[in-house]
Amino acid sequence: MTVKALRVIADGKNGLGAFVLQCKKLDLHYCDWAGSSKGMNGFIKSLLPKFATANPQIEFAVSPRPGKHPVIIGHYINGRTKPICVRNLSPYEILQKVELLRDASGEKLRRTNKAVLSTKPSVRGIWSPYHGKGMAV
Amino acid sequence: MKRIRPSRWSGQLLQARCGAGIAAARQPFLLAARSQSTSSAAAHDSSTSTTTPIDSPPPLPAPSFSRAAQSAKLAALHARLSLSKKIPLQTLARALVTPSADANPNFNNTNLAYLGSTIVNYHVLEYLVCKWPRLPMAILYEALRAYAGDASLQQVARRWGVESAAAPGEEVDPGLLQWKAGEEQLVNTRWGYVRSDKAPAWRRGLSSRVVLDNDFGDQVSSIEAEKPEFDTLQSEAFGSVVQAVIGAIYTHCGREEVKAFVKSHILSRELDPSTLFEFKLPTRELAMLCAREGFEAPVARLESETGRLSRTPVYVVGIYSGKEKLGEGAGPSLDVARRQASMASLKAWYLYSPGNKVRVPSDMMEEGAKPWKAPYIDIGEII
Amino acid sequence: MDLRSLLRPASQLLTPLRCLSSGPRAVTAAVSLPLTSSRGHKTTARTKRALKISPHDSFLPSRTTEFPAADSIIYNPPASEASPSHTPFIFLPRNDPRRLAITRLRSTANVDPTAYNSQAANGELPPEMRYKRRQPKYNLTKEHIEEMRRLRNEDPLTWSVQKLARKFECSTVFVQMAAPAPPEHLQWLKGKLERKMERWGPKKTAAREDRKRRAEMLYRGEL
Repeated sequence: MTVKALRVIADGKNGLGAFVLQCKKLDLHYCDWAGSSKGMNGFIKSLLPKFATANPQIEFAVSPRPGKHPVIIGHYINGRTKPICVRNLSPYEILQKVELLRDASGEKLRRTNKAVLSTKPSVRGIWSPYHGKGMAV
Repeated sequence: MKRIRPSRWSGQLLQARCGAGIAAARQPFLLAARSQSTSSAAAHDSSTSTTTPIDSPPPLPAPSFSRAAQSAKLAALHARLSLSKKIPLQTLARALVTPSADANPNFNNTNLAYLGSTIVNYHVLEYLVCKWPRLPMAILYEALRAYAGDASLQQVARRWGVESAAAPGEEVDPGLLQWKAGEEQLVNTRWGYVRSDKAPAWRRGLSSRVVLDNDFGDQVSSIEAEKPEFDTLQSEAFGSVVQAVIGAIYTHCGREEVKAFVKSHILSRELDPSTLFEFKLPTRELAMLCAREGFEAPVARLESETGRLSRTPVYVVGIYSGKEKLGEGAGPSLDVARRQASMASLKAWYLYSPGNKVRVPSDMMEEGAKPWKAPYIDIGEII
Repeated sequence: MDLRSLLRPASQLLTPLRCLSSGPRAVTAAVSLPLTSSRGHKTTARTKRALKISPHDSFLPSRTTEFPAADSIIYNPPASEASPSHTPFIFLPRNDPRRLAITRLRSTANVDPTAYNSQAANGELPPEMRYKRRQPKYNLTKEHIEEMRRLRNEDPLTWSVQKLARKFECSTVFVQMAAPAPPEHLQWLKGKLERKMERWGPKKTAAREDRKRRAEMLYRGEL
């Protein structure tokens, strides 16, 4: 009768039901000539095919950028990007960086000092001085 | 920038996208012949000559399905959603073509989206009805919209990493959403029972919306009165992707898989139904509820108070029916506190839930399901 | 404070004496450990003792039964506002397990364990509030209503809604429904109110608007 409804949108919680990897694309830039790209070239030749096979959720784009240091840029679902310069790194060090980009959420890094953040209200409620049986001290 | 072409990659990479291989053999939705088959497909095939005939047909409105297997974006989306290998990339590519880009229903996602929307709405509605059996109809519609409305599904699609192309066209990557605003709607994407135009003076009551109108209780008009806004069209386009993907899962994988998918992607979203209520006369409504249910008339009792003579008093009021407490609220004046308490009591009635893990009718379709126990059914709204 | 200010110079006097009496080994220790710290062990113990409070009665197991003989559940609701997500007892449907459980609990215990506070457990309810509410009397007959209508039509100015309600001992809402005023009188009343509202200053107008907006916010649950 008198109840009207307000319009809201349910809030998505990634990982609560399905988990969607937040890294959607990795750009890998290398240079054929420069020495700082030596490790990157090795990574693209030897480790990238295996890594790409293991992570089909990510779109890989390899492109040359002559005369520049090698860079890996992660593109995330929230629209942010995360670039990492990998000059003079060995292929295995680059693999670590790539894994870091894959596992990142794309959010700005934030300090967390609570182990758990809950979106639900407390089951026991917020303490109120007007309730309860009181206590003689 | 050069995109990786999986066809030129080593065998390992092709293994990762093996859904594509199966897909090429199946081609389930693409039985209809299209004039594109000769020239445009040849233009993308690197083995044949790159020269196109001079009298080439006009460009396609959306990318050709034959390019779906080569799209890295599409394969990544397929993997990101952990879709079954039974769903070919071509179907996923079709789910991304909206009727605003390609009006031909053999090539756009209209049919899949309609199928998907019925599945989503069914699963969400049965969950809502079993979980909160006393929700009033207006709230139920809005709760359904909060989960399965276009705005919500647009968020889902964006969290899947679906991006729209700047403009739809043949040359666009098939992994992008093919959509444009401001085009005249050639295909009907709105479904529901249209009300008769002969009696426009009739009141559009809530009970009539159960039978007429669309799934969310919105009126469907046969004539487009005004052009919808950009945001509406955009959320509709993105929402149709989610619905079409769900429709595709149903067609290729079946009932169980689609239920699991809806549960994990749409029902896992968080909604607090107590935020949906807007009351008008809570005290009167509560009195009518108690009269209807045969409870004693509700009485407001002052449980505690502080600072009555100060600038900021606090009153805690409880609503009692006989000796049973129905709800309580606090407020800066006696009247506000009483209204708060009445609203809390009404919410306590409306938000009754049999439990967190309710069984829904579609659970019975599983093999070896336990015998069905009827859920709690409320007698209806307070009138 | 006074005592400490007196003690400190006294301890400073004492320190060299202690150093002299013991050997050179003790000098460093004496310097690093002054005789009076800011807080002695005696006050710490006293503070601790003062802060030590026995747990609230509700935390202790029930003493109504023999202690080790029966298991008891400690039911200790928090000191917070009752949440609507906890459905009240009478709102639970007949076959709900919660209803059965509460019924059983109430029948076994002599005081109601689900009661909100000790007074409620003893069956005492907080005082009723005084506010306008519907108290139907059903005292009016058809003749009464016709009389009411006649009076209202004859002289709506004298026989206002309030006056009629007082005369016939019914609510003002009932008078408005049963004996509505003639349309010209309603028009006049409306005009009167409008003229009155025009005279309101900016503060009063804003205050009225704010009040209306606050009520809407309250009903939307934003307040």
